[in-house]
Amino acid sequence: MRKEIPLAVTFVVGIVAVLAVYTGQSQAVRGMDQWFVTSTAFAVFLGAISQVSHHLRVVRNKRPNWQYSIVLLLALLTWTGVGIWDKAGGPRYTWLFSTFVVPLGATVGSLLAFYIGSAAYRAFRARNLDAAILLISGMIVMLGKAPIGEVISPFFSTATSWILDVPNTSVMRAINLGVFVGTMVQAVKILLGIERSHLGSSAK
Amino acid sequence: MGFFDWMQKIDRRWLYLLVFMSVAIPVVKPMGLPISIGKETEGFFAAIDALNPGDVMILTPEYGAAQVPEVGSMTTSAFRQAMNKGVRVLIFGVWPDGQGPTIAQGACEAISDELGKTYGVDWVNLGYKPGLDVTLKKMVDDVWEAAVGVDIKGNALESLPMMQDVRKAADCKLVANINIHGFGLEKTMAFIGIPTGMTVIGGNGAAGITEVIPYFRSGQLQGLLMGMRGAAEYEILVQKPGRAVVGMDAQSAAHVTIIIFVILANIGYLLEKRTKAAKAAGR
Repeated sequence: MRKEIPLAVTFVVGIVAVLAVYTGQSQAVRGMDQWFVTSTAFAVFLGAISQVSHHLRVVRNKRPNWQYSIVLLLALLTWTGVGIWDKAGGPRYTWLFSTFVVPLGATVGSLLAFYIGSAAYRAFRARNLDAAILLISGMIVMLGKAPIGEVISPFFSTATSWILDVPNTSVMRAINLGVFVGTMVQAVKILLGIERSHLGSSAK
Repeated sequence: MGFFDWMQKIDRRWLYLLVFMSVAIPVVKPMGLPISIGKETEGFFAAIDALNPGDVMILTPEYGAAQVPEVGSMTTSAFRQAMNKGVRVLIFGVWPDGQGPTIAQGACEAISDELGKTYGVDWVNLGYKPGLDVTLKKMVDDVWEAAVGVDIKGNALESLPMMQDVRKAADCKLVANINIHGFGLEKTMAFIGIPTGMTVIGGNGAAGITEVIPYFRSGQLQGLLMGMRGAAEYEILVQKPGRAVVGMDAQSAAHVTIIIFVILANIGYLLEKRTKAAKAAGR
């Protein structure tokens, strides 16, 4: 029953949703949309409970790096408390957000410059013709997208536009079409119960 | 270690140091490199410029704190352009990390105060609303219901004068989605732009540009800000150069530094390969 019930629910809800859209039953679609929003909010709540219980176990059993779990639990409690007390747009919540989250996020984001620089230096090699084309076009776009490229030569800007407009656009369209067709096929497979990986390994 | 080998294996700490210097020095002492305006940025500016005073536009900042340096100024510049033009702005976000509207709130409050605008009359921030696609769909039918009747501060929407004119998404004339990846912009087009027929413009982090460029070329997107470069071009168009313009000098220096290292490594690699091939042939 652990797999039959979810499969039946998926099938019924999926078929009703498809029929409702194609027969113009907007009331039914709205009802299901409401369920979706509610279940999304519930999933956040469930996620928070799962995270708290996991990290409480880590602290209780003194697993490696258990100190970080205390930081996480304290942060979770603080944010939840301030969020409920002050609302998301309140001055205390905003202060907490702009004082902690924004600088921490920006720091993590800015580290990318070092990692990307290092990765490009170590991995970007013209080992064959394909890699050489990738390397040259990558360097042209890097220069074309920075003002220094135009200072060196207008060629970089023109070539960058061509690379983005012609090869990139055509390839991305092909990839997107493939992804959309694949998504539809996957949806039909899930609806019919052919694809079951979302139910967990025991359901296969 | 031979010279060619050294060229390929320079200690990464030297690279880190040079990248740090190439970013930090231009920020402290900008070089003022000229920045030309691309047609994508012109399209973004023109779309907001074509609105009439009193019109309402939707602005959806969908990014986290880590992406603020790259795309944050797109939101503030769009907000500034709209306020200067007398266009009213409705802000909200549906992306799961939910940070964008909160980040935008402080910056937009500062611009609003500077320009003598009033919250609730000239602009409203609904905050983060969970539900992603479904919430976007719901916005088309009923903005109030999608927002669960309250704004980011917990104010009832009935109490906000601007919201009396905004019951459904089609009451707005344009939607501008600022995102770090292409996914959010695609959803904005699919769930708001296409059903309402309203103008869609977007701003994306550089990493997501390749995904959304086809939509600009096809005309589905009227304007597109491409990465920090797009943000800098837009800052120039709204005549308020800021972080992104300064960042362009840093980006130029960092790109050149990385390119020099990549060229060095490749010269070393090719010369080493040739030396090995010559040795093998002489054997």
